Amino acid sequence: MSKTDHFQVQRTALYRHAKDVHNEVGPWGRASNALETGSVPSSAFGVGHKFAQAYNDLVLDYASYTGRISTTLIHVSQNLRSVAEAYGNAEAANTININDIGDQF
Amino acid sequence: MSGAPPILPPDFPLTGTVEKIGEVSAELRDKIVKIINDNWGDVGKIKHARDTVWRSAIATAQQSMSNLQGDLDRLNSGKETSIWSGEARVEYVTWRNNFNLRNLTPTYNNMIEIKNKLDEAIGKVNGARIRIVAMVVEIGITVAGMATAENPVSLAAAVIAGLSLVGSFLEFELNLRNEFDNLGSSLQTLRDSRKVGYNDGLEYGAPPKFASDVISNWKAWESTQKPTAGN
Repeated sequence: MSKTDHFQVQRTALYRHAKDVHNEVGPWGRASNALETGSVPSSAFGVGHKFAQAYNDLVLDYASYTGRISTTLIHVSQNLRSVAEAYGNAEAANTININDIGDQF
Repeated sequence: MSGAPPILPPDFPLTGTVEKIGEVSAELRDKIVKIINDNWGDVGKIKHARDTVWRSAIATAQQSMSNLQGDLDRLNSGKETSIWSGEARVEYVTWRNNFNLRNLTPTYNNMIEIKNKLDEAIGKVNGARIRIVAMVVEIGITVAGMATAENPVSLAAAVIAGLSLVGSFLEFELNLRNEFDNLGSSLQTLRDSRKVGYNDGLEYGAPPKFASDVISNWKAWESTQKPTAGN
């Protein structure tokens, strides 16, 4: 495999992986949106007012938390794409050693 | 003596019995009404949160974690390793494994625990409901028996017996409050568990909000950063 071909394969593989990761952004975002609606009125728990308070704090906590996981996956996907693009640039220049690309990140 | 009709939860099945008790003793009726309104709860709303929110989120998280692991496994396969190699790949795979270990897996496990706590809460509210219905039926039977006696002494005895049953329920209610408080504390423990340290000295916390200037630096992508306000 020529160096140019190698760069192309690397770029393609990383783009595909970036897309795979990006596909999981939506599910965590939807989980977050669902959890935002998960609060329960204190009266529903009868005399369990303290439990209700703890639960409703927690549900908002996890809505935020799963939202941050979704955001993190966006960044992961973006980073992978930037790595793929670096391989693409290397392919165009055809002058950069593969190992040097790895060292950039 | 009965006064205005008692305001009770719409799904309480013995409204008529409570009204009949009120015809004998407004004091007894008012105590029963307070017990019902304090303890009856709304199981439907808790079940809705459990089924449409938590079960759905858990299933989504489980599927996504499986997908993400599959993606990573493919990246780690011999074929992909030969395609993408070097320090960046190693840093990335390490970060992904840590992300799974410290963030995704504990989040998933905790969501299951929270759903289980809701199950327990549903059980407690249902338990209170059963006790309430039993109490109202028993008081209703006692009072109905007295209504035909036309005997003031027996009537007073029925009211006293009813108040005694109310007192027994209030003891049950006190224990129920304590049980709910303990259940709430266990939820707080779950919340705090996100900060439990790991053997490797790293801390499991919320995913940091990555700044754009570290996006291209895998080494900076440690999930050990403590979340800051607004993060």
